[in-house]
Amino acid sequence: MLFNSSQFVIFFIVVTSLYFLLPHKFRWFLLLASSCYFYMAFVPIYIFILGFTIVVDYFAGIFIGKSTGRKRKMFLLASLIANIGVLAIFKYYNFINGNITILLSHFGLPNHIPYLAILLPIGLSFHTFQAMSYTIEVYRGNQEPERRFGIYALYVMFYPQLVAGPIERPQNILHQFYEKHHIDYENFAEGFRLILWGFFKKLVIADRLAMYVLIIYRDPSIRDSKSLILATVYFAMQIYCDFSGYSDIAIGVARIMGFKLMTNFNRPYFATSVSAFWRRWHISLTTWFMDYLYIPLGGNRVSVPRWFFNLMFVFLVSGLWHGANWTFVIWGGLNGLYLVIGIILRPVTNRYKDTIIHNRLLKALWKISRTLFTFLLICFSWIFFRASSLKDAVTVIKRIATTHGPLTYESDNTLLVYPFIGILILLIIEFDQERNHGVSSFFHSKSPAIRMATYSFILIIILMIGVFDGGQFIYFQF
Amino acid sequence: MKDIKIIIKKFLVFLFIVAVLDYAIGSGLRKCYFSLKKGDDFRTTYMLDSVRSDILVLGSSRASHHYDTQLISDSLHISAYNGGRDGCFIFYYYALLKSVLSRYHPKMVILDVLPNEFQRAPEAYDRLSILLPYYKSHPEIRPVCQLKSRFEKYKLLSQIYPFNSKLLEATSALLSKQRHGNETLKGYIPLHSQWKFPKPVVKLSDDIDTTKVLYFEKFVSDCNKAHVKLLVSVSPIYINYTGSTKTLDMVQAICKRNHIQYYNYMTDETYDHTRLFADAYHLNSSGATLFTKQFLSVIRNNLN
Repeated sequence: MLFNSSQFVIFFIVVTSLYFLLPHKFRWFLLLASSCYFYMAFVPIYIFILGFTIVVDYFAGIFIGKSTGRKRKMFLLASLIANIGVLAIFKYYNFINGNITILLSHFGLPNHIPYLAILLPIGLSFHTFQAMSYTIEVYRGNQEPERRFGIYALYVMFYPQLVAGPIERPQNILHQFYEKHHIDYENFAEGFRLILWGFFKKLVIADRLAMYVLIIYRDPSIRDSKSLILATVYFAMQIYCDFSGYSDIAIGVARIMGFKLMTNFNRPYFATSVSAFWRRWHISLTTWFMDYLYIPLGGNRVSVPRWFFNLMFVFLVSGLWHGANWTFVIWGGLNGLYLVIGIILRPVTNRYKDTIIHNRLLKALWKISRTLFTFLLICFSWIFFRASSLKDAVTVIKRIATTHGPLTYESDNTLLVYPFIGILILLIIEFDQERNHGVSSFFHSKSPAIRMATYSFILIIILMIGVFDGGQFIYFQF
Repeated sequence: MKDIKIIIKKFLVFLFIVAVLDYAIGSGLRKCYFSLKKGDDFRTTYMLDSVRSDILVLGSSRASHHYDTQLISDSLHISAYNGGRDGCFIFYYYALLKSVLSRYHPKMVILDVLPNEFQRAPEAYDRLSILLPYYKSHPEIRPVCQLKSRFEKYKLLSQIYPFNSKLLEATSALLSKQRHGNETLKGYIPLHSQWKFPKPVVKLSDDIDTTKVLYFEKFVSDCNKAHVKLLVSVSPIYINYTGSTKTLDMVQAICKRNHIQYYNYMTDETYDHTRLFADAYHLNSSGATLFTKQFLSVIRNNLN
């Protein structure tokens, strides 16, 4: 079930109303049953895959809690193998097989391993990572094993964040399923604000930009530089608004019921470096890789070459997490490379920063240019993320560098004007939040009139120029 | 309990403000929209409210760019109008036909079908949003509008929603100096560019949307009942299609069963030149003139 569907609006109203009407002891069951329904609205049969990993991880958690020494490690390994195994079969099997075919064909050999005709279960990478964080935290002793099967199943399946995160940690969410939530005005107002803002980002910006990006990236070999540059910048905004819009709705929906999910985006395009960007973008995944891969590899407390290796490795894996395609691996690798180069250049940039520290104008210009340069670097990497193949990505880059021609746009200008209106509103709101440490002078104004006007304005804009027939959220495919 | 009261109170205030704004803005948009005198939306309004031509061309963008209705009109000394519209499928053509037949019976309807007309495509339903401004005033098209979603009639409680994404077009009616447009081409929209790439290969799927087939059958049946001569045509295309031919097989079978003339120019060698195409799907003005001239004899024969 998509958040941007009429069915979801009804589902949400019914589930939330029942949640507050039911006695506390039955609420977990309502949430679990509704989460199953929510997930099964996509492809019902895949509930069994989810069920399999839930059963494995539940018992792994119990056994890890009960055992000591090598046994403890064995149970953790069993859980990790089950989770990664499911990912490997459903997400990477055909990719690996395809690469084996290419490799063997170089030696004139056929590949007899059959391909699997399977669809990737929605949000598999998200709930698998959330499940793994549970067994790892139990193993590390940071989390008590969850005894109640239903509560553990709810931890993996909680519908607001089931298919596209935020990827929660057990310490943050599990205890909340035991807490009794009351209807609370603050939760309701904040949740409603997040939902409205999330819908604005998704319907007004992401889905509108998607139309142009789709036209241009469908066959980049017939497009010229201006259109390709515009489509790439549009894609940068599209993916941000699509994914952060989803996260906002997810966090908002949970918040109305009294649950506090972790922040997933923190205005990433205001970052002044790539490393700052990654502290603001898909925070739940970045911190997951930090906690469970980067730090166990030694993080930055190792020799410099090893540190760089750790960074590159984590980003390559992160790329692969996003999709079974070399384009994602290169996207990850590029971001890793940006970080490594950023570290190498840090003494130079720091020295320059020190020389301008007392000049406000130069300092502001330095910040603006760094923000724009970071945005450009990120946009360049998005080319690989968006292109359907490496060949297409190379075509995009080549044609940006070598061609000149008119901008492709519809004669009625809607593909240029409506996104401009949406992005302008987004920039005004986010710039204001950036200046006020995340607090919006519009949404969080002390004046009820300004708050009400902001909410009304955003809803009216959604009605006027939102795309109501838009597609799925991009991150569902991961 | 106190929080519930505050939430309800504030929510009602919010709803009231939104309802007032929705009504005011929606009414403004409606007024602007229906004062449009050119463009796709004007042509749809004209087809639904005013057209009285003897020959009507219906179909997608391929209809609007391929049938020079001015040329048909001048050559046959009979009124003709092209009601084709970009990105539309059978549901849209059927809605136009229903509305036209509720007012008058044209002598002939030319329906240009796509090689993938019946293929399952969610956009066929999404595009029905262009009919929403007419939902209230045209009861005959309501069942078609409701194909978009079962919640459509509730969404239409909003006054702005039918004019979603129409802000630019609607306001252009106020700003435009050329308020009366140029309708001398009788709905036909010529394309002037030239395609310069090789013939693309497109694989057709055999995943057929039975609702689309049903609406095509209804289209044929309504024309027959109203004694309107219907010609079904597949105009030239610069694409090599592979895969299933199910759509056109079904179109042909339905036409045969209902004694409807069916013409297919998809593989006509006359049009196997890039100079006749604006893009792989659409003839340019030279191609359209050549095609219309060829099709004139078909029209003439069927009018007699």
